[in-house]
Amino acid sequence: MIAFTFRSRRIVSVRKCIAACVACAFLTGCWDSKEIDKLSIIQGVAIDTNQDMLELTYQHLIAQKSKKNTYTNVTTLDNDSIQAASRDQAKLVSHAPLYNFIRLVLISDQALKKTRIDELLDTFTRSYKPSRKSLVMIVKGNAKEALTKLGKHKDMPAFDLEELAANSVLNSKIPRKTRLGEVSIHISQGTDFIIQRLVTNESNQLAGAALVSGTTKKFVSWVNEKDVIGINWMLGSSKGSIIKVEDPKTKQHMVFEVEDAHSKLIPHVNGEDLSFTVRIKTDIKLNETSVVSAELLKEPFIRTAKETVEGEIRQIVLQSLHKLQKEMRADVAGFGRKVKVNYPAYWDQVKDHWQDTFSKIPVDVQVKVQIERTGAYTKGAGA
Amino acid sequence: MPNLPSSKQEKISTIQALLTVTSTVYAVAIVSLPRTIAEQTQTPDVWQGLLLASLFGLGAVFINVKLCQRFPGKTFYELNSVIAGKFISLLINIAFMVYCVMICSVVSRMMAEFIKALALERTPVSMILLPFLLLVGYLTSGGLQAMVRLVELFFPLTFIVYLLLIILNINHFDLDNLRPVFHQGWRPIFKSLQVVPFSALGFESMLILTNFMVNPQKAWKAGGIGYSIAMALYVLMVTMVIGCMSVEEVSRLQWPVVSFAQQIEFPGAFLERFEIFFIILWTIKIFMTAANYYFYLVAGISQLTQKWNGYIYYLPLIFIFALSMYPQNFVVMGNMDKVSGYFGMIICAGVPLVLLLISMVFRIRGNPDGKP
Repeated sequence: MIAFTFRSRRIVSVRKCIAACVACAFLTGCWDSKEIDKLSIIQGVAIDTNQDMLELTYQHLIAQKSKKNTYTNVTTLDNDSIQAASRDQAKLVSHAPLYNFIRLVLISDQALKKTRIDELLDTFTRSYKPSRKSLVMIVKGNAKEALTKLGKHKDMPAFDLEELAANSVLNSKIPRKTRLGEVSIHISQGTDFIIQRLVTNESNQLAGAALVSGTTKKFVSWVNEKDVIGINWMLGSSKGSIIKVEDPKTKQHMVFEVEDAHSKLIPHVNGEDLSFTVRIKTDIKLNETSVVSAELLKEPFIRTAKETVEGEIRQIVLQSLHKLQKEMRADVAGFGRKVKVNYPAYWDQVKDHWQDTFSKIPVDVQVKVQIERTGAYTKGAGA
Repeated sequence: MPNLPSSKQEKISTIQALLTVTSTVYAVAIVSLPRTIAEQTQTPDVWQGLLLASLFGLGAVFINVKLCQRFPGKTFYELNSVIAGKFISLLINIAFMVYCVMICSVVSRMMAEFIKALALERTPVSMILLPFLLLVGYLTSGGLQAMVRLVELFFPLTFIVYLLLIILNINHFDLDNLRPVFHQGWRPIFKSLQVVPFSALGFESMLILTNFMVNPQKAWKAGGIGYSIAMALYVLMVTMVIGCMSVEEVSRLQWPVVSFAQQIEFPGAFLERFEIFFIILWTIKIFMTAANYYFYLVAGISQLTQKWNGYIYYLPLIFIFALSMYPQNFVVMGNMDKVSGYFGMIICAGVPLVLLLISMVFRIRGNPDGKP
């Protein structure tokens, strides 16, 4: 019967029907068509708490010319979960939200004290739409405030903060920027980590870091800028920053730029005892000096400068290490991972009480400095 | 010359056979493979299991090639009736075709889920599948020559994007994520061997392709190299994904390779979202795999019926469409994947091995001139 149908003349109309079906199939994309002028492109997210509720703020990408220093295209929503708050947006905003271009997520320290960071960021990492490249920052006080402050160049706050975060290559007081993907990795591994801290007064300003515990996954404390410098040296991420030292004889200052920095954490296990060597290697160049009597290209100057810088770095690292070990008891530089990787059997013994173990390990810091360039002058003015 | 109506007296070159094998092997499994391995091992010993599996796969390629070379001018569908007799060979052929249907539908469904999650959110899965499968049918109607030409055309493209994906992630790579090696001995590696072989499938292409080649004596070279390229890409990708994201993270991610593609930072806004390239690449990749398996299926049908017409190369799509729409969720899909994996192991490695042994013991050979 079927064969008969196909063989008869009706085959032409059957083919036409099939062709029509096929044509419909190629309309596939239309289900997801979105008109670009009917979209609300979300650039930044801020998470606060409001009593028991979570407060979610979205920054929408809308071109605005304004002489004021505030950005007004934000919506703030309260609910008990991020998704629920996000959907409450439908009551306020007519355009369909597009989450593909979220550049940064700001979390207030209050929210992070109450709720675990993986809970707060879950909806962003779970969906495939926001990228794992989005930045994460912790804001002191009110996170949604930060999304209303325009940058110095009158950029949108989300753009401005994104570029600001990248400035850790210029100043070692700024910790390395943290991305959603990295937070996710830290959460999976259960390690402590630091996130850039943002302070909002007149304008947005980066200031130190926030420490997030790997076990409770909540906010622990702030880390001041001095300690951030030490952590940056331990992580080998001080490249591009400067280091200022005093000439031991003349007590005048020299400022060096770090051209290259590497660090290595070397664990030593001797029976039950664990110790660490932190080996830092760096190449620097002279950017500014007020030492008058220096022969910059001569051996004595190079040697004293080298030793001074080595001593300075060593002291910074030891200080911040002391604070990390004794006060915060937080292993943000990845000492635990090194033990795990190099002495897996030993790690199995100590991993349950790693915080205690970490606070007691003796650490030796070795610094090696190479002065590569001294700039246009070969001598100080008086030499 | 295989006595298949579908072949239309076509021959393929060695390099074409090589690329077809490569594109059949490395396919859909890679997206979740790093997770499935990491879940099993729980240690960074991920690549050893894959290497072992690829050695096993190379062995299977060797068996398949040797079997086909004993019967010049015959495909797997024809030669097993010479060895095993009419009835058993019919069973084997049907089993092989069922296997092709299963792989084809699993692969297409995965592709659809993939596209749905990453790009077309509101489009029904069936509507993503339909044009895809129709295109597969259309490609197959052109015969083997059209298929290998397409593979030849797209292979460099997919290869470049694949390598780019790895190279652009190199700044995230941390050797510590891959250490310590062998810290729990061989146990995790053997554990990972429970899941790895499914992604090592694809060597069965040589069962069909060997005697389509202009120089069948080079089949081992083509199959071996093609298979090794695919497995090398697998090992490279899995090692990089674990090296960049650590075992703990990877074992939590559904599709680690997608997250891997998402974290690429590329200067300039144009390539801000690199995963778009990845999605395009992957759709093409899965299209090639699905088309290859579909061709093997259709070749079997045309062998059974001795015909080559529109009904033969379009009608099986209905089964594939129905079967790929059948799973309700990822659990059922995972089970289907597993079942087809085990099934494939038996059909594509076990059965040819038995056939080869029988033909060696009883000294069964095809005529060298190819005439039956």
